[in-house]
Amino acid sequence: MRADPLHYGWWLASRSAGIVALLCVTGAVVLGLIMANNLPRRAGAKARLRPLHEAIAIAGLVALAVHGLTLLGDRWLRPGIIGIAIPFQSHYRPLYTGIGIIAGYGIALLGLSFYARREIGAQRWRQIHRFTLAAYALAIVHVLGAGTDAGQRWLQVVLLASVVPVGILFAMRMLSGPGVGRAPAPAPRRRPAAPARVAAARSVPPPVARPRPRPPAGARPLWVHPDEDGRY
Amino acid sequence: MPDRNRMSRRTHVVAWSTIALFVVVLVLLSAQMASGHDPALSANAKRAKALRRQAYAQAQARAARAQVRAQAQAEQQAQQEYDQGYGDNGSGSGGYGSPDQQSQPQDQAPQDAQPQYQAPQPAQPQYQAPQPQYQAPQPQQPAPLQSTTS
Repeated sequence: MRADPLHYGWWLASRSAGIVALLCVTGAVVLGLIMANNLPRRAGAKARLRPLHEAIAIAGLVALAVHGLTLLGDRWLRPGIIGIAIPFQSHYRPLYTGIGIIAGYGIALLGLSFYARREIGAQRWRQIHRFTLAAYALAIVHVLGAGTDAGQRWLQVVLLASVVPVGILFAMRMLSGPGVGRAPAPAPRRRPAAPARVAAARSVPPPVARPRPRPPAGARPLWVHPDEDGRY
Repeated sequence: MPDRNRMSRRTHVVAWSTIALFVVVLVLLSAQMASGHDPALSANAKRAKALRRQAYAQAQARAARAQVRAQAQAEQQAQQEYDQGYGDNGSGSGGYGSPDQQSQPQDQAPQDAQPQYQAPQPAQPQYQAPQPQYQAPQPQQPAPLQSTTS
């Protein structure tokens, strides 16, 4: 059925934004897992990847917001604020739409929690940030269940190309054990045993306050300028 | 300072790449829709076609049932009229001849005359069952569905 795309502008924009959001979130998740797996072995590579990871994640969040907000203009769906903001309230495939709303909230909260890392605590934030993968999985379920183009071959290829690297990197992360991707902890300072410490304290004489050297008597002070006659 | 410039450049690259990707996907989806291959609209069209076909079949079945009913009713009516006609004209009620003949009694014949009375044969009913003129209602065309969402 041929149709004028201008009549379905909001709907097309929402679909496009959803696909872009999926790609951006996938990119951010892949970069995050690469960093977590400590894959770039070169020094400073992680520091270079982090801003890219952050920028792609923010782009994905913007695309996610566009995906939801442009649905408000769709004349056929008419979801309303409640339909796009509260899970399982939309009349169009409420289960999968609700899953998508939950995934969007999760991705937004877990992504933006980076900026509250100091308040949360780095270690706790890292534990929380891992749940981004669960939100990503919910987003994939949403795409498969509620996506208009989910039955199209090209979107299935895109989904496969997104899910496979994420799955491989996640498996690597799980198999490598905890703490692999973390920065190496500083070596603990070895303290000598107590008797050795005592002996060392005894062998080294305490510092003695030495008297400041004074200039010999009759020597001219350096801080006094001679007068006009050349006398001090 | 160069690091900050590099980061800013990367951020710009990511932002513009995202916008370009959005535009490309939008154009592709629009082209898909304009060429008539949009999955949602074609699914709607298929659904509407199936609904139309189903409505047409239902209307056909309704029309056929109504035609059969009308035919049966007409036959029944014809049978009743036939029975009535046969009862009036025939020997069912004991009378002979047509009502006109009955109005002119046959026993007015002269007594000496040989009875020329011929019992009339019961008139065969010439009734023609009315043909049903039923017109099957045209199936209503369902309104085409507009669109679906993403």
